[in-house]
Amino acid sequence: MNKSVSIIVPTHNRSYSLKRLLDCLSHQTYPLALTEAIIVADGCIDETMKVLQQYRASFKLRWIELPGLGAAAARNSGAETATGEIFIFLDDDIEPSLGLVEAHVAEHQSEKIVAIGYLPLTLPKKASFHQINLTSWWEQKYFEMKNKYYRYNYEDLLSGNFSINAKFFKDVRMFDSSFKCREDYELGARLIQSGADFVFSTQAWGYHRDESTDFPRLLRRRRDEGRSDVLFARKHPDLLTKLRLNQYQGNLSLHRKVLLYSAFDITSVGDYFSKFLLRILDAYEKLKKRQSWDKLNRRLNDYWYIRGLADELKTRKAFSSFIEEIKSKPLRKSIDLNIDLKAGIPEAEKQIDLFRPDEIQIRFRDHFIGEVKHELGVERLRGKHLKPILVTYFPHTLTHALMVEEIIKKPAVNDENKLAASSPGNTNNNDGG
Amino acid sequence: MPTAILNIDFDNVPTQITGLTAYTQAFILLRYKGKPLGKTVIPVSEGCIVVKDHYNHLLNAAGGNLWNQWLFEYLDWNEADLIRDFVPPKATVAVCTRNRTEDLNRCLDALMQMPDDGQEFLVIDNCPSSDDTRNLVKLYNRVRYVLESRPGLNIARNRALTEAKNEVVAFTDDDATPDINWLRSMVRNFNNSLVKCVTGLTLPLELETDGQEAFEKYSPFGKGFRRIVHSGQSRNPLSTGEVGAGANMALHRSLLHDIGYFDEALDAGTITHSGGDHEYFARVLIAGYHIVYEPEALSWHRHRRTLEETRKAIYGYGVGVYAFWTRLLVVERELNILKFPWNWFRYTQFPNLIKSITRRPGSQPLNLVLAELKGCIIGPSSYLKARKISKSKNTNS
Repeated sequence: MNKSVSIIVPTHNRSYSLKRLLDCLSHQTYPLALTEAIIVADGCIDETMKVLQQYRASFKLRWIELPGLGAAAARNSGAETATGEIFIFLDDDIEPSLGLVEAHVAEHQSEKIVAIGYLPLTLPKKASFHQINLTSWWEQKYFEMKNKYYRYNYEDLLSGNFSINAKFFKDVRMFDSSFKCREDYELGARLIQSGADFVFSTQAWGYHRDESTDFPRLLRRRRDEGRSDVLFARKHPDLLTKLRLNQYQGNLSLHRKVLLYSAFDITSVGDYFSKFLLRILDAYEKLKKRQSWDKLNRRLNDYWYIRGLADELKTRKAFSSFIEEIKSKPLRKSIDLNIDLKAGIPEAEKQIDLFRPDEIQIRFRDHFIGEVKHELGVERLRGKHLKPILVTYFPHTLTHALMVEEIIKKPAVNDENKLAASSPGNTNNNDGG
Repeated sequence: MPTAILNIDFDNVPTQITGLTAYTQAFILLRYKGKPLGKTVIPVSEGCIVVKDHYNHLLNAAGGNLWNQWLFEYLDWNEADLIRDFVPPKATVAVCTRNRTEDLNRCLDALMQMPDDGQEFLVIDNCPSSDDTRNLVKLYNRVRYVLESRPGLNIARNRALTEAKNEVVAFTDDDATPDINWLRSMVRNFNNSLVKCVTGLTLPLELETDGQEAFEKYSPFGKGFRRIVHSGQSRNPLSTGEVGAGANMALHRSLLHDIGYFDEALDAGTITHSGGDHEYFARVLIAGYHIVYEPEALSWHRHRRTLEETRKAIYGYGVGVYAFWTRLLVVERELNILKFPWNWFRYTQFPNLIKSITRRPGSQPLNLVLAELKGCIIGPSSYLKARKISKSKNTNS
C-alpha cells in the first residue's frame, strides 16, 4: 500500500455529480497522501469550476479546463499531467465505494494489469423495457467477468471505472482522441494486442448514478457508434467481423436491405419514419407488448447505427468498397500450439501458460479432441482457459478418448452392496453415501 | 399397483434390491455422488430388482449427465464454484403448515439433517385448529415457531418473509422432504444480482395409491435435470407454469421492496386454491429479474393419497391458474394474458379432453380433465371475490 495513485475524471456539466464524487474520494480507505485527483472539465458551462475552486480537498486536487474535446481527449490530457504510478479512470457520475481506490491498487501486482471495477446496476421499481434490457446487458457482462476462468476480450475495457499502470498506459499510447465514442473498446483492442492482463474486481465497486435513459439520446449514441465503427474498422481491420457493420455486407435479408437503403439513400424519409416508429414503440410499451417492442427497438437501433455509417461513407457503394478494402488487409499472424493431454491437465495448462497461444490443437495420445481457432480481439489463451474449453466444446470427444484409454471406467455393479428397501416411502436416504 | 421409489447412485450400484414384494415397478432416481442425473421406471419381479439386468437401461436413462460427471471428476472441475470471491447468502428455511403434523414431522427431520451453514428455521403455523403443531415444533430447538392466525398460504408466506432474519428465504411445503443438499444447492445460485428466485426439482415421495399415481401423471412437479435460467428475455414472463413451484423455491428478500408481497387473495386457504407462487414468479420476471431452476435442489413431495383429494387438487389448480391470470390482467394490466386461455384450451386442454373421452392410450382420466376445466371457469370470479374478502379483512383489522 505505498503506490501513488492518480484518479482521472473527465466531466461535462455535472457539477452536482462531481461534488458527490469528490466527497467519496475524501473518505477513501487508501492513504490520501498518496492520492491525487485530476478533474478534466471538458466544455463545462455550469457550476463545475466554482465547485472545484471552492472544494476543500484532503487530497491533492487539480483541474484542467478543455473546450469540449470529448472524453478520450479529456482523459489523455489528465493522464499527461498526472504523477501517480497507477491511474484510476472514473466517470463523473460514479459514486465510488470507500474501498474503491484500495481495491484497484491491490490488483496491480504486475505492470500489465488492467483492473475493471464493478458498477452494480439496480433496477428501479416499474422499470421500463429499456432499463431492463440495459441492466441485463451490464449485469450479464459483469457476471461473465466474475468467472474465474473468463477469457477477456477488447469489449471488456469499460472506461467508467478502471485502473492501469501509468507507464503501461503511456506505452500503448493512451486513448485515441479521434474517437468520439467507442474509445474504450479501441483502447481495449490495443491493450489485448499488447498482452494486457485484465482482471475484474468486485471490491473496486461504485454506484453508477444519474444515468440518462432518454430514448432519442440513445439513438443519437447509436449513430455515433456507427461513425466510430468506420474509424474502428480502418484502425483494426482484424476486428471487422466483430463489428456490427459487418452484418450489412454480403447476402442481406430483405429488412436489412430496406434499412440500408433508407439510411443511405432516402434519409429524410427514413428519419421521419423513425420518429413515427418511436411513437409506436411507446405504444407497445404501454400495452406491454414485449416481443413487438423488442423487435421494433432493434430495428430502430439498427437504422440509427447505419445512419452513422452513412455519415462517414456517404453512399452504399462506398460502404461496400470500404468493406472490401478492409477485408483485403492481411490478418495478424497467430501463435499455434499442439498439446497432448496424456501428461495430465496441470501439465497441459503449464504449457499453455508458457506459450500463450492464439490457437491450440488438443489431442489425447492418438485421439483428436478438438481445436480452438484463433479468435481476434480476445486475449491469448491461458492455462486456466483449458478446462472450460474442454467442458464446453469437447466433452464428448474427450470422454470417449478417456474411456477408450480406460482412464475413466463405467462404474461396475458393486457385489457387496445388496440393498433391502425398507418400509415404503422411506427409501430416499439410501443413496450409497 | 403401487410404485416403489428408489435411489440408485452410480458411485455405489447395488447388485440387487430386495424387499419390494408390494410393488410391480419402481420409480428410480439416478444419481452420482448424490447429484440427481435422471429418472426412470423399471419393473420389479418377485419383490426384487436384479440391477445387472437393467444396467444398460439405467446408464442410458442417466445419459450425458452421467458422462459429464465423470469428465468433471477427471478435470477436477466444479460447476458450482466458478465465481471469484462469491460467498453464498445466508438463508432462512420457512415451512408454512396447517394441521399436518405427520407430514411436518417428516419435513423437519429432513431439514435437521442438512449441514449447518448458519441457516435459520421457521415454522409458520397457519390458522391451526389445535396446539399440535406448536407442540411438535417444541421438540426441535433450532426451529422458531410463528403463529399466523389469518388463513391463507400466501399470508403465511408473507409472514415468513417479514419474520426471516436472513437475506434469502427458502420455502418448502410441509408435505415435502428436502434432500440433504437442498439448501446449499439453492443459495449458491444467488451469485448474480439479477437472480432473485431459485426453484428446485420436486419428485414424488411415494406412489402408493391410485390417487398419487394419477397426480404424478397429471401434474408432475419435476422440470427436468438441466439447470435453466429463466428471464423475461428467454421466455414470456407471464407464462410461469414451467418455472417451478412454491413447494420448492427460494426468494431473495429484496423482492419485497422490488415487487411487493404475495397476493393474499391467492392460493391455498382462500377460494382461489392455488396460483400464488406462479403469479409471484410472473411479477419477478416482469420486473426484469431472473429465476434459476436448479435440479440439484431436490425435494420429495408426498402427493395426496386418495383419488378424491387428487381430483380436488387438480380442480384447485384450474381455479388458481385462471385466478392468477385475472390478477395479471386486473392489477398488473397485462393485456397479453388475454391470449393465454385460448392457447391453453386449443393446444392442450381440448386435445386432452378428446383423448380422455375416446379413451386413447396414455390419456388422463376424464374426471380430472373435467375438474381442471371446471376450476378454470370459476377462476376469474373466485379471484375477484377473494380480493374483495381480503381487502375487507385488511380494513377491519
